[in-house]
Amino acid sequence: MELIPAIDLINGKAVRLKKGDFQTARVFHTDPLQFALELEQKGFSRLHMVDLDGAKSGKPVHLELLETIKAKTNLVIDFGGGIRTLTDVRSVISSGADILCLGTSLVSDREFSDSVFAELNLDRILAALDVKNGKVQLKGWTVDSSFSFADMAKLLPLNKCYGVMCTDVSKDGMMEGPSLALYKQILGDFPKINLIASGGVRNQEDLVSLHNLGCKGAILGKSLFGNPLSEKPDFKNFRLWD
Amino acid sequence: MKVCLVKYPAGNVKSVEIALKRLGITPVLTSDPDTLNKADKLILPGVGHAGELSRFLEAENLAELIRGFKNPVLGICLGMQIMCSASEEGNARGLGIVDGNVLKFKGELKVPQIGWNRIYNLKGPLFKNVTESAYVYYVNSFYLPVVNCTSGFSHYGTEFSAAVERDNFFGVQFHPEKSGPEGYRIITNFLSL
Repeated sequence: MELIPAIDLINGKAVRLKKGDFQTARVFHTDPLQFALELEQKGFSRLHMVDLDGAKSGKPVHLELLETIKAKTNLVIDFGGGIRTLTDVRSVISSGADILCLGTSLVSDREFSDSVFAELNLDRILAALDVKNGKVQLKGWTVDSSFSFADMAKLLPLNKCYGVMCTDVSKDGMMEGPSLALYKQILGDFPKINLIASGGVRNQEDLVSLHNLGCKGAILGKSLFGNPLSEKPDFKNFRLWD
Repeated sequence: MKVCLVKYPAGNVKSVEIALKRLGITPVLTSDPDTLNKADKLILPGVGHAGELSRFLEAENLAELIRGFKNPVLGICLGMQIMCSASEEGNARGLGIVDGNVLKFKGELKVPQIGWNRIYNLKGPLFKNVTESAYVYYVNSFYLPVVNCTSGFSHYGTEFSAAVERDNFFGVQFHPEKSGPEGYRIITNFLSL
C-alpha cells in the first residue's frame, strides 16, 4: 500500500481543513516546496496536491508551485482541483503532474471525459469520488448528488483509470479514523479497482486496517504531524508496505 | 553527450525530461531519423499503446533505425515492451530485439500494477551499485515473462522481467525516473555506458 501525503493549497500556503470547510482552514506550512522536500527526506515517494483555490474557482491556480515541486523533488505527484477542461489537463500535465485527480466532471461532462480518456494513458487518470453520508459530493464538496459511490462508479470507464480515490468528507481532517465500512463495501462491489482511501487516518493501526481491506493507497493529512499536531507521527514506515 | 528521446505522437515524457535535466542533461525530443542517428544515447520512453506505437515506428521508418542502432538504447516501460517480439496489447508486432512475447496480467490481480515493487537478481551494467531487492515504481498492465535476456525480475502474481539486456539494448519495465535515488542510479549508469 502506498502512503500518500497530501498538501492542500490556499493562497500558496499549505493548509488543513476540517470536513472540507474553508472556514476551518489552518495554515501549517507557509512554504509548500520546503514541506515537499521534508516529506521526501522522510522517505515518502508520492504526493497528493490539492489546489483548493482551483477547486473553488473552477480552474487550476497553483501550477507554478506544482512545477517547482516537481523539478526539485523525486516525488510522484497527483494534482487535483479545478481541472475541468482539456486545456487545464494539458497545462497540469506540462507543469509536471504524473497523475491527474479528476472529479465528477468525468461523469457529468461527456465531451470532457471522452477527450481526457482519448488523450491520456490510464496511469495518469485518478478518479476522485468523494462521499458524505453515502452520497457522492459535487462542486468541491458543497453539493450532494443523489448517487452512491457504486452508482457513480458504474458510470465511469474504470478500465481507463488507474484507480479511484475516495474521501469520506465527514472523516476528513477529524483524526477519528478512516471509514473502514465504506471502503469494505466499495472493494466488495469493485474488487479489482486500485482504491485510495482518504480521510481520518490517524496512525499505523489505521493503515494496517486499510491495507488488510485491500486498499491500494492511503492519504495522510493531519496525521503527518501526530495527534495532537505537536506529537510525533505514529508510523513505522513512511514509504510503503510490503 | 547527446541524448535523444524518441518522440511518439501520444507521448508525454515530462518526467523523463525532468529526471535527465536534474542529472545535467538536456535531452532532444524528436522523431527525426537524422537527429536520432547522431545520438550518443537513445531513450524510448514509456507512454502510449503498443499497437499504435508499433505502427508509428514502422510508418516513420524508425523501427529499422532502432534495430540497427549501435550506441546504447534504453526502453522504459512500453519502450521496453516494444523491443520484444510481440505484444498482446493491440496484437502489436515488436522490434524483435528481445526474444519474448508481452502478455497481459491475468486473474485476480489489480491492473494496472501501480506503485512500488522490488527487483531481484540484478545483472549487468545498468544495475551497478543498485541494491538487490530495491524498490522501484511500476505502472503496467502488460508484462514480459522471464526470458533469456532478463537482467532482473519482479513478482506480481507471476515472475516477470523487470529489466532486459541484449548487446547495446537495455529495457526496464519500471519507471526509473519515478523510482527515487535507486532509479536515478540506473539512469546514471545508462548515461555512463
